[in-house]
Amino acid sequence: MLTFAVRRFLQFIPTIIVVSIIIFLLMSVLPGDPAFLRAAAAKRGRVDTEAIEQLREKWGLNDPVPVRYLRWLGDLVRGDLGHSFRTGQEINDVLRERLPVTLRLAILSILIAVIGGVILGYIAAIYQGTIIDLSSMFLAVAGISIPEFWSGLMLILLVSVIWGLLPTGGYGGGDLAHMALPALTLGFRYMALIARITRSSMLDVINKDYIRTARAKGLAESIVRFKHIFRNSLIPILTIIGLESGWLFANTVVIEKVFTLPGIGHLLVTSILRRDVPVMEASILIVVLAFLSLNFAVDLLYGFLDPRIRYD
Amino acid sequence: MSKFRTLSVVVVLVAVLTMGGVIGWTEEEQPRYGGTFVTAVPYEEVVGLDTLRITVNNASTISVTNQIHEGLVKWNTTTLEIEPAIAERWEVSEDGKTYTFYLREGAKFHNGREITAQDFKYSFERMMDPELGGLSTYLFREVVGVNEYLDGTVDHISGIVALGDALSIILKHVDVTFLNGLCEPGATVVPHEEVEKMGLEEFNRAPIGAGPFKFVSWIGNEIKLEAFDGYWTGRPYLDALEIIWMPEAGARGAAFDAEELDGVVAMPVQYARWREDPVVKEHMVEVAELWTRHVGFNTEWGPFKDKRVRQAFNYAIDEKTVVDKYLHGKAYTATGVLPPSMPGYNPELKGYGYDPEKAKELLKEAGYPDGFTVEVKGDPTHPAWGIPGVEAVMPYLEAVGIHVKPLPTEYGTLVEEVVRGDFQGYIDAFGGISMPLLYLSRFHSDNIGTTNWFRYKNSEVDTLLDQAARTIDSEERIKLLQQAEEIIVEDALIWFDNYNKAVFVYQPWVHGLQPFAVDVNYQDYEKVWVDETSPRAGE
Repeated sequence: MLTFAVRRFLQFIPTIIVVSIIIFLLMSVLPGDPAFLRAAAAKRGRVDTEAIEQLREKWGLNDPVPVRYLRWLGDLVRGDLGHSFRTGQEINDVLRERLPVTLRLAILSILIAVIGGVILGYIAAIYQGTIIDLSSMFLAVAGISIPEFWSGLMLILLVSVIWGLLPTGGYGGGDLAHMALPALTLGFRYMALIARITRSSMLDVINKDYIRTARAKGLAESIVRFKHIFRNSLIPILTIIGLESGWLFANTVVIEKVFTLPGIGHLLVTSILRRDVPVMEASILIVVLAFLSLNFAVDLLYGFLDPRIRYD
Repeated sequence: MSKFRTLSVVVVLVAVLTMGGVIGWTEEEQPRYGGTFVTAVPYEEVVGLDTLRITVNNASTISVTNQIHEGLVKWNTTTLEIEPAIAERWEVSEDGKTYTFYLREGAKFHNGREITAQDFKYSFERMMDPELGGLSTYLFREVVGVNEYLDGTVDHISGIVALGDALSIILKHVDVTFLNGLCEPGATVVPHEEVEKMGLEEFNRAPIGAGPFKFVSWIGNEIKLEAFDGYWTGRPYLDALEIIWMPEAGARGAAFDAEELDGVVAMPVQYARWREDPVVKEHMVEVAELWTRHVGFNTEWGPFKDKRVRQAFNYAIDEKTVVDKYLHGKAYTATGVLPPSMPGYNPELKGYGYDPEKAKELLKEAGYPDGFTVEVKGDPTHPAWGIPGVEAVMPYLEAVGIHVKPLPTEYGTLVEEVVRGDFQGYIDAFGGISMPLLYLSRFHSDNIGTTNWFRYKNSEVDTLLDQAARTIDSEERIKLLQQAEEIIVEDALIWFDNYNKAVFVYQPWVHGLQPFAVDVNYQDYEKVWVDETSPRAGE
């Protein structure tokens, strides 16, 4: 188990290196000069070519891509992510400020999605074919189909503007009043997905022979449902939770815009549009790390849930 | 009896007059001190609060820095005239090359220290210091002694002279745009002791300036400022000002409707809704912002080499209907390059109007009886100056035989490609400056590769613009510029689409907002006040 964990952890490193090379290559083929975007105000008739060239030199943009990449990698190993082209801030400081916002949002949404989704799917499977099943699956389809930017705005309109219950947006230090609507909006979509997987995974198990055996030997229905059906259907549910939580993390981009939250998503969008290369690298790296660690956690959980899975 | 009668008449008269007076008094409304004003800015995230490394493009940032920092002179946010700020008055030498500013007594930094001419010299040299990466260097490039300073052979710029309360700036050539440039954020003053104490990065996050509001905090998207008691005109009415960056228009609208914001800019769809709202429609500031939205033509590309084709493009489209129906009236149709709020605007210019028959005729004359196909690049999203703005007029163009292929191009790439001349047509807006000479300079052939995106070469226009740049008398200068504009309109380098109607909506308790044509978000918040009906009146 431990050796597996360590081995899996070491596999992170090549993944991160490959990802960082891809990002760097993409940046070098992407049109748009960071120095021009930062220093020129062409729309307003102010273009100082000397200032632009000075910036390009200062940021080392005139060096070949491999040189720039190795320099960046060297700094990264030393824990230095560099400075933002846009603001001049140290990226370590930026992340310290932004990461808690996105983490709070993501964790709350995952909680909502997992708890709500599993319960909904469980009920739907148990009462398969009834009105309960139909209505929970209707909710699930709605959740998957409605885009977040729309459902977010509708929630704001209803809860904040018409009822005046919660603030329309902003971080406000991350209290529940400010985080409730964004977490709900983001969580709802994944809740729907998890509910559908839970339901179908449980239905697969319900018709298995060993369930009939369990019932035949006279086990209480609650034990059959929980220990035999639910537990055996957890593996696919867990897989989807692991994968989708990574996506959820990446999808905070949209939610952060709608609810004006100063998180990583915002940072990512601005850095791409403004060609703020160091910030772009760092924020993509964060998203990749989130993906990797979530899947790592899921891999470890498999063993607890299904003793047949061996790690050696 | 008659005495009593006279007396009662007098009493009644006095009563009526007093009442009238009282009513008059309330109508005039005495500004009230106190309260917090909360607003949201769109555009891009704030880059930093030190004016050293911001450009005039960083509009969200300037909405904030204009409150914290102060320069020698500033624009009047209603008339666009240049007004004294920390300089009480100024003189320009006979030859137009030396500007001398006399600083007012008692103007202070937020740390309480009095501002001296030396502070301005320090701030301007700091802007030019190659080590620091200042981005408004164009403001002082033509000052005497700058080249030596940039080379590092001298420690100071010899053309910036601080003598007591007077600051003289000596230019190499006459530059009639110089004073206007000094109204830009890059020409504000900073206290050297604070900059040195804090260091560049910290000062950028928590600056000390000389403007009407002091910096309090910057957390995430929210920046909080408070009134500066020692501001040179006296303290502002508001106790506090909060500026939040909110990129999502829907979210801004919701926050305004929920009364979380005291004022905010409106997008076209919101304008259509709020204009129908019985309360909000009474509380709007509208102004023809200094932006000319257009489709630009590459005069070095195929059909657009021919003036008649470019004119045909203009005749083909009914701009008025586009503005009314598509932009919900939130624009003014363009009749020339300069918007109506610009000094030097020429009301004689009537634009091209809508004449599809004439368009077809011109295309035929130019050798395109069956029309042609043109790729138009543009920002993928913006309704007015992005691809949707082109798509809205495609049926008009199709009707005369101009087939448009819209090419959504991410904005970071677009400007660069357009500057390079790598396009056939593009949609965008230019402007954001209140100086007609600068506004029209993008049609000068010297600016091909920077701001002359049309790659337009006309020696007559070049000569007029050069002449205007040397003409100190502003009336005469405007005459020259209007001549140049007439030629530019005749040569149809762009499709004259519209000028933005900037709309700033505000809550009923807000007073004193100004229709600032450079950007309605750059309010002089020291003139704004809120009455006691504001939910934030006591905050």
